[in-house]
Amino acid sequence: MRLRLRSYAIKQCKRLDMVWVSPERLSGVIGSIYEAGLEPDLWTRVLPQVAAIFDSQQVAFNVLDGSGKTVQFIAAHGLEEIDFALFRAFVAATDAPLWYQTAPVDRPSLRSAVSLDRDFSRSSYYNEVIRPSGSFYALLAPVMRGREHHVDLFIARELGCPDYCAEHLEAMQILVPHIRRAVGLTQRLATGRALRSAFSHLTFGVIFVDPHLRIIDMNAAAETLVVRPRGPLGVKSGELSITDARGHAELQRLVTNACQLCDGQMPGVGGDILIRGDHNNQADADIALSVGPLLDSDALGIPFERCAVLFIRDISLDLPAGFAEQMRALFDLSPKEASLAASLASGRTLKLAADDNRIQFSTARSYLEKIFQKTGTRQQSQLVALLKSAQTITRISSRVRDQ
Amino acid sequence: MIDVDPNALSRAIGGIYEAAYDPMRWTAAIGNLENLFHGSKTCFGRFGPDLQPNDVVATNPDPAFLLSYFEEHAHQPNILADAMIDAPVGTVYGDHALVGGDRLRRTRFWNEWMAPQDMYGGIGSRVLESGPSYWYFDVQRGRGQEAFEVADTELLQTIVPHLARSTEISRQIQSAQLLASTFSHLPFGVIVIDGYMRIAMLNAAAETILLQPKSGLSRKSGHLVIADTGTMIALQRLVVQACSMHDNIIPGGGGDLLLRKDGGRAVDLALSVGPLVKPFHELPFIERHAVIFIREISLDLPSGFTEQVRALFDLSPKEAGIAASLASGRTLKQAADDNRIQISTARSYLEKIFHKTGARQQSQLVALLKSAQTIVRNTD
Repeated sequence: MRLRLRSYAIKQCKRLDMVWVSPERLSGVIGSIYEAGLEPDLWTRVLPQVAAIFDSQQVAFNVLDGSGKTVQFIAAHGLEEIDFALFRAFVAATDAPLWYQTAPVDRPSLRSAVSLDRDFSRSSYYNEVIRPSGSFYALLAPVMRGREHHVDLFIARELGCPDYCAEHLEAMQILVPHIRRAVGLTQRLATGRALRSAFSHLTFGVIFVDPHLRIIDMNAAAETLVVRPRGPLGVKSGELSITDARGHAELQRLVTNACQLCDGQMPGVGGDILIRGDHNNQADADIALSVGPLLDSDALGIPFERCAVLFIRDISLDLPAGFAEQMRALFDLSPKEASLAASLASGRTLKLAADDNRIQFSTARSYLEKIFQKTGTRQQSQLVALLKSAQTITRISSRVRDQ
Repeated sequence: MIDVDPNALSRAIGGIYEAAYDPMRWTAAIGNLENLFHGSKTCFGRFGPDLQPNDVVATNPDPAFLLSYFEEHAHQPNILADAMIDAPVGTVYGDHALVGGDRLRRTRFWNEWMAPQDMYGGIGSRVLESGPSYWYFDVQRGRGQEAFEVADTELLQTIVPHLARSTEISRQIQSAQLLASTFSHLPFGVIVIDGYMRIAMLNAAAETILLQPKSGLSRKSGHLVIADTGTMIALQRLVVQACSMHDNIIPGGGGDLLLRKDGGRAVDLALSVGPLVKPFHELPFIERHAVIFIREISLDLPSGFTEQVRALFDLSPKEAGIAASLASGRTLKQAADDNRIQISTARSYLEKIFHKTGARQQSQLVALLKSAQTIVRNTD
C-alpha cells in the first residue's frame, strides 16, 4: 500500500525522483509534528523524518525575530554548531539572506527560483556561511510570518544532488499547515501552563473533581493537604474522601449540586464545610472547604466530565513562612516590630507576644504604638484584622527564602 | 491496494486536530473521515457514567435515534458494547467480527437502531481510556455498499493515534479553561505578564482594580502601568527578574510591593510578583511570563463573610453578626453598637463564639476568623 503524490512537473526535475510516501509514513510524520506541538523537545524527532521524505541532508527549523537580527534554532538535523554560529553571525551583521527576503511568504519556494545557481555559488553568503555545511539547494517553507517572529522550515541538499522540484513543493505544502498548527498549539498550551504555574503559587488548595469526587486536577497546596497523614482528607483510588462520614455526605451533595450545569439547570451555588481536625493533636488544624461550580465550563462541546472546584484551606493560627519579613517590607516595620506584629497576628496577647520575643512588656507596648502608627490602626484586634488581610495568598515570598 | 489522495488524508488528519482547539469542529472532522472511508454513518463519542446526548458526535444525526439510544439502549446490556469493552485500546476492530458470526445482526439493537440508520457493518476503535470513561470512534457502511477491507482497517489504524492525541490535546486545553474559569472567581487580582510589562492574561478582580481611576494601576495599550514612577520601576525590576529564569533556576524569585493609599486611593494594595515555574523549554515564539497577585489590604470583609462563618462554625445569625464586626477590627463595644445590642448581650454572644470556635480571646478570634475568610469571589 503506497501512494504517490500526483505530479505534473516531472520535467523540471533533473532526476526523476518521485516523492513516494505511504499513508502510514505521512500519517506518522504528521503525528510526530503534533507531538512536538505538545512537547517542543520532540522537534528533534520530526526533522529526521522530514529529511528522509525529502531526501535531504540538512533540515533547520528556526525563528527570525522581528528586527531580523537574531535567529534561533528550534531544532536542526545534519547541521553542526559551527553552521549555526556562522548563520547567526551573518544575520546579526547584515540581514537575512537576500533570497530569503525575496521568497514568497505564503507558500514553499526553492532557493533556485529566487537566486540562480550561478549567482548563488558566487555570493559571499554561500561561500562564507552555507558552504561549510555542504548545503547548496534549499527549499524554504514559511510556517508563520508575524510582526515579531518569522518561523521557517528549511530543507537542503548538498552540491551534486539534484535540485528539488515541484513535487517537493507540493509535498511540503501538505506538511506546512500541520507544522503551523503545532506551533499554535504550543503557544496556546503555554497559556495553560502559565495558569497552572500561577496556581502552584497559591497557599490554599484548589481541587477539580468530577461528580463522583474523582480528582481531575489539583495544585501543590491541595496535594499537601490530602496526603497529610491522619488528616481529615484523603484520596482513595483517585477519589477525594473525608474521613468523617457526615462531612463526606455533605461534600458529595454540594459537588453533585455544583456539577448539574449541563442539564440546562442552573448549577448549585456551592457551599462551605468545616472539617474538624483532631484537637488532641496540636498539628491537626480545622479545614475549611468551599465548593463552587465552574460557570463557564459548559461551552466545551465534546465529551468531557463535568466538574466542580474545591478550595481548601487550614483554619489555623499558624502564619505562613516569611510572614514577619513580608509585614516588615509592606509596612516599613523594624525587624523587632515585625516580629512582635507576627506574634500578635497569630492570636497571642501582648503579654505572650512580649515573652515570645524576649522583651519587656513595656518595650512591647512602645513597639505596639509604633506599629499602630505605621499601619494606621488604633487597637490590637484591628491590627490583627489588618495584618491577616495582608497575609500573602501566594507562596512566592517563602519560595525566595528557600533558595 | 487502496487509493488515498495524500491531500485528502492530510486534510482529514488536520481536521481532527482542529477539533482539539474548537470542539464545534468535531462534526466536520468526522465528516472528513467518513468521506475518506466512504462510510454511511460515523460517530465519535464517550462511553461511561452520566452519558448525555452531547457525549457523542455523529454524521447526519437523527434526533429521534439519538434520543432513543440514550433512553432505551445506552443503559441496557448491549452485545456490541460488551464486546467493545474487551477490545484493546488503540486497536481497530470490525464490529461483526468483534461480536462473532452473525450474532450482531440478530440483536434488537442492530435491527431497530443500527440498520434503520444504514449502519450495516463498521470498523472502529476504542481510542482512549480515562478513569471510568472511554472514547470510541466508529465508521459504518450501509446496505448497498461493499464491506470494509483489510486496507481500510490499516488506514483507520493510522488514524486512531491522531484521534487519541487530539482528545488528549483537547483535555489539556480544557484543563487550562478550568483554571482560567477558576481564576476569574478569585477575590484577588491575578495578572500574567511578560518582561515588557505586556498583559497576557488577567482575571476579573484584576480588571476591576485596573479600571478604578484612583487605584494608580491601569492598562495602556496592553501594558500594565503604575502612575507612580518609583513604584513602576520597582515593579518592572521584579517582573524582569522573574521572567529571566533559566533552566528552572530562579535567580530573583520576585517579591512584594505595597501601593500606599494616598491622593485618593481608598485602600492599600499589596502586589506579589513571582516567576512562573515549569514553562516550556525556552522557545523564541513563547514569551516568558511572570505572575502578579494583587490584593487589597483592607478591613472590609468580602460579601457573604457573615453567612460563611455562620455555616463553618455553626453560629447563630446574631453570633455571626458580632463575629463579623469583630473580624473587621471593631471593638466589642463598637460591635455591639453595629448590631444594635447591649454590650452585656454582646459579651454573652462572644462567650458562645469562643466556645464554638475554640478561640480564647478576642484578637485570637479575629486571627482565626480571618484565616477562614473566603477565597472564592462571591458572584452575586
